[in-house]
Amino acid sequence: MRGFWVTVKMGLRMYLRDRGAVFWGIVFPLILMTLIGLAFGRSDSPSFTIAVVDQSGGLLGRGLLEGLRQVPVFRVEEAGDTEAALARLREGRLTLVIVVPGAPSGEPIRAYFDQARVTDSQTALVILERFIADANLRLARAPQTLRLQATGIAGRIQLRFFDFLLPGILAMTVMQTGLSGVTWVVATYRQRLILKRILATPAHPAAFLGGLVGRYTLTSLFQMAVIMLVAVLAFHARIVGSLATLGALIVLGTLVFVGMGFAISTVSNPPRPPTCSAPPSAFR
Amino acid sequence: MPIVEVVDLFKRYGDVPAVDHIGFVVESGEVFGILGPNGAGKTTTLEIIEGLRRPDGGRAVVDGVDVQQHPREVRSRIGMQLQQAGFFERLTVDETLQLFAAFHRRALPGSDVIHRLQLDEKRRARVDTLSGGQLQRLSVAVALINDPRIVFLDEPTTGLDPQARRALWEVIGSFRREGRTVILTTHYMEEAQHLCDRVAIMDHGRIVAQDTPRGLIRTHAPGTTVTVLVDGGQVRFDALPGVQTVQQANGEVILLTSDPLGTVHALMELNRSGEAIFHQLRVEEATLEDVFLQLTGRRLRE
Repeated sequence: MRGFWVTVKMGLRMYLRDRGAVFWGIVFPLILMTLIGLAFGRSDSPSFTIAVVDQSGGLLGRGLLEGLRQVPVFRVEEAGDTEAALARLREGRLTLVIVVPGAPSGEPIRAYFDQARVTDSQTALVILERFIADANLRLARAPQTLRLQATGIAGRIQLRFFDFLLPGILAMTVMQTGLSGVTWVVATYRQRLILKRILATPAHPAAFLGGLVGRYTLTSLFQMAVIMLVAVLAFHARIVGSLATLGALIVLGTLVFVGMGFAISTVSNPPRPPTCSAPPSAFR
Repeated sequence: MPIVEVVDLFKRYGDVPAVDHIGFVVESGEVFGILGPNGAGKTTTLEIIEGLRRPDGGRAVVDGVDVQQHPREVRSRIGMQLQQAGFFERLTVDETLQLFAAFHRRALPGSDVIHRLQLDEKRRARVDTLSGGQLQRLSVAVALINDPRIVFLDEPTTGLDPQARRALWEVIGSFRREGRTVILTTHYMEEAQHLCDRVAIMDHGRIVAQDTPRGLIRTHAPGTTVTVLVDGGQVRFDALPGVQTVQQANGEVILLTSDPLGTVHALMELNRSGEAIFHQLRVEEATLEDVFLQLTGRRLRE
């Protein structure tokens, strides 16, 4: 394929001279990763802050409070006023508010949660339900006939928040390089009649376009390697699974998004570069 | 021996014929010019011959190869400079030529081409730092990289300052000396007159005349003006050989003549015999501009 390798070679040179491409491909994902990592990456295991409003003032309330304090993932606070506690729930500072009714009214124990934070609320509620069921059984003095012990076996390596963040950042970068990078570059080539100049040579158009795909695949792999290196060295991220599979996935992802980028740049008519809306569009 | 043959070429955009049944033959080793105003169909004609556009009728044969049937084969034999094509702005001059050399089956060494186009100082400069004249020379360099027998140049000097234009004329002249065939379009009549062995004048998609520049002038705008500054003496200018009209203004006498040689000869005789003293003598031939005016009733750059 005459022209393929030289297109790859020159494409890589152009990439390294293009500060915009290097920024969006490497610097920006690193900044994003650092910011998210710093904001959310501290706590290794989840914990929920819950407030207990004890209206009974009796044995039930105190027993519940003591019991809940034994649950490792709960940070339990005692609150005097229901309204104040609910306000803090709305602000997102609490995961659950538990209201213990005044003694022997027969009313249920109420748990309030924030519907906007589905995952946290549901997890905390499941733990709470389990706790209540356990307490009921103990009050009824039921024998513990069946016992369950769950042992995590994915957990030879204990995954942290950051280990989940890294693949997301990588995927975002692959998508961004392919989709917005290619769209922008090819539309510019079209607009400046560079493609016409290339087609005016006897080389097959596939050699040039193939060269562009090759260039994007290589830059994508390079970007991923830099990001992963920083993630591993600076944030102690752990990569589970084989690097080869990850590499293959990156190549595949790049090809898919580069293909989409080509398609978009072909239909963008009049051939005006689709401006800087490209990077933000990657977040939609 | 004809190296390019264009037969009854036709191309329309919508209802408007851009190229309206034109035909011409370019001989090997000549510089052939297509002269006409903007929008006359020059670029479309050139791009059809280069295999970049499909005609709606007619055919073009380049170096014995039918353009429509084997466009890529034609492109490998010719070099072309496109009117507006851009280059990768983040590559250097050197790299750009390397890239285009790789797209061809054979290529001249980049450094030779760079030297010929006087781009030596700029060979490591990025394309986006080049001036208009340098870009145009790079564009011609790309046309030359595959050492073509036939070079197509589409308005090669448009937008250049006179000095840059002269430099490029020099390069195009050297193509002819090397035996390359050059086909160029231009809307500068001086350029056509200076560079071309033969010129086709194009207007509204048609070729209205084609011949050598001299032949065109002889046929369509015959006549030469001889202007002299006279000091005393009574001369009957209208009796001189070939003189058709005589105009006098500020001591200058302007003679329109069909026989410039005879007229000038007679004036020299008068000068030598002392019958009249001429301080200045200027002979001006009609130009292709006059030919275009005669043929279309309009000026080239209107």
